[in-house]
Amino acid sequence: MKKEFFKTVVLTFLVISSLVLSANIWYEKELWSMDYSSFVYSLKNILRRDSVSNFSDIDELMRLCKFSPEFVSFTYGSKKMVLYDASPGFSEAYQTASEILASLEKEGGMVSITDEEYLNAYKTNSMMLKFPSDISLQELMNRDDAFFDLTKEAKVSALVVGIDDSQTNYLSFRDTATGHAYRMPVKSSVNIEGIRQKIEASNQNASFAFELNFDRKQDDAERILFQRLVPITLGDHSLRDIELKPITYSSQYDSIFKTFRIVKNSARTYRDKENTIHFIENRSTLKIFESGAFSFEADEKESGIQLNGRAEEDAVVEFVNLLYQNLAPESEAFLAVSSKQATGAGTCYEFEYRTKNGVIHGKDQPFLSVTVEDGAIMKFAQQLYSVAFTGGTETITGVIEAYDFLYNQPDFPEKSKLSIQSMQPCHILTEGVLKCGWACKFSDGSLSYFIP
Amino acid sequence: MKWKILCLVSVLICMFTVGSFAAPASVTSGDYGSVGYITVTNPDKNYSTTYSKSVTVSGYAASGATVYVYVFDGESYKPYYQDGNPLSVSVGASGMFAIPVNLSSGKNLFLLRAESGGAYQNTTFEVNLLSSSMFSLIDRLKSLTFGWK
Repeated sequence: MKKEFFKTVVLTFLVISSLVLSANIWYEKELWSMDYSSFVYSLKNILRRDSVSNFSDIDELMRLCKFSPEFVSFTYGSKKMVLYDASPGFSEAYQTASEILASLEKEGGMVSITDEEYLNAYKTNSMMLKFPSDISLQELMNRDDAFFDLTKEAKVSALVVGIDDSQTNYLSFRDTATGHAYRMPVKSSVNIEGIRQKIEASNQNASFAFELNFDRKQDDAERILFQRLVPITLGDHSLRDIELKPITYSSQYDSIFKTFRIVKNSARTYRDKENTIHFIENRSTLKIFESGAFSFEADEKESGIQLNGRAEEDAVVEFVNLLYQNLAPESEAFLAVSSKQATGAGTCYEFEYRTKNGVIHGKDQPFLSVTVEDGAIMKFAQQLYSVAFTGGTETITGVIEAYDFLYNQPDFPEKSKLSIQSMQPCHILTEGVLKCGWACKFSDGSLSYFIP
Repeated sequence: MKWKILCLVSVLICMFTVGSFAAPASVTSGDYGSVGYITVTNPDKNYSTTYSKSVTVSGYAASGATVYVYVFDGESYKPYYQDGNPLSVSVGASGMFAIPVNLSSGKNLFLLRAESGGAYQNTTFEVNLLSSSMFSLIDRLKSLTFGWK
């Protein structure tokens, strides 16, 4: 009796389970809502870090993505020292700059200033930070509303802080949303003697474009003008040497299968003539190329990666970095958006590798491209590399030589209608070789990479 | 044979010495040459004052030109030497140039000469370096004035 009863219970459970699972398949629902097939609800649980990453947590990394400056500059006396993010001394300079910002005490109210007063702040003894995009001043400084009073909502792309013991120092910035410039008297407790000595010992010569009037048309010739705060540095530059190691298909790729809900054992699989492995699920495909690159494509929204209504760009950046940290935990880089373009039905984000010491661009193709449609990642293609610093340095020519290079390009006549928003020394991967060069961002948002 | 080699080396040294500063040894005031070879963007005025001990002279010159810096010695403009070398710069495709120049206290009269394919243009400007003690004096006076308010 007992035996029959248990048999009946087990059989009933099996029949019910088979009916539920059949229904789930029939209605294209997830088979096991608590398993890894349910990426939507448990991104962070799936992408658990098995080993220690170079970035302490995703929040630190997201902060780096947003607030890491393109360069830090110090002006003292008649000297200006510009440290680009790829320069060997950048980390120390950024550390000092961050300490100064964190130690600032308010000495008076925020007041609106003229354009001339704002630009004068860059000529006096000061420290300046330039960011790749507009960021919230309050978020950057991590201060309460009272600190900024009338400029609580301000967004900035650059800010300058006076560092002169003999006079009143000001924190000055331009609100990029309104175009108004402001300044506030401040006091810092950080000892800047070390940085002062470094500026005096530096043999670098630099000026901002506005100081040399390269931001204004001076003659009838066809020229590409610089925007005001682009540094015109003279002489060669050193960059920290980087090694880029391709990552190839191995058991580490399991997190890709989990993330994109491809069940390796049950998906239809074949290898084509080019040695690419195709894993085909009902509504999505994952391809793993011989080089280690992989691509994912979903046929419909339900098979894509749902971003759950969060700020789209932030969600995409977090997603790609969580996956990357699982695949290359030892890498000293993270992924940051290099361009964002509207496609027919959504947005395509392209990514570059960013380190705490410079940027690596893919000249021939982006390292990662992600297409988001209607709140879900529908396409994803990534070439995987692990990034390491070798300890050495490399040298590249200065801004003027790089600028000369632009004039020899076939697209120069079109570019002469634009202005240069930034010029950054960086590492560029082209035809499989990593080289030092310059990334030039134009006023229309377009980027040119060149190796002088 | 040794003499021949020595002579050849001497000739080469002379050639390169001349080649590094091929502009005239002095330029007289009023010699402006042709027009359209150089535009100075900084300093943007013929006369300017500064407290900074150096100035970055910048501008645009004809592509492929060489820009030489001269300084007035009371009689004529002579090549300006910095760290023992006459100051000059070769201009690339963009024509852009920037040359850091150290200033002497008081009046500094400069001449920039752009040479290209046998033609040249000279342009002059004056930079007056004010004493920093004067700067602090002005500051002190300012603070006293504000103190009265």
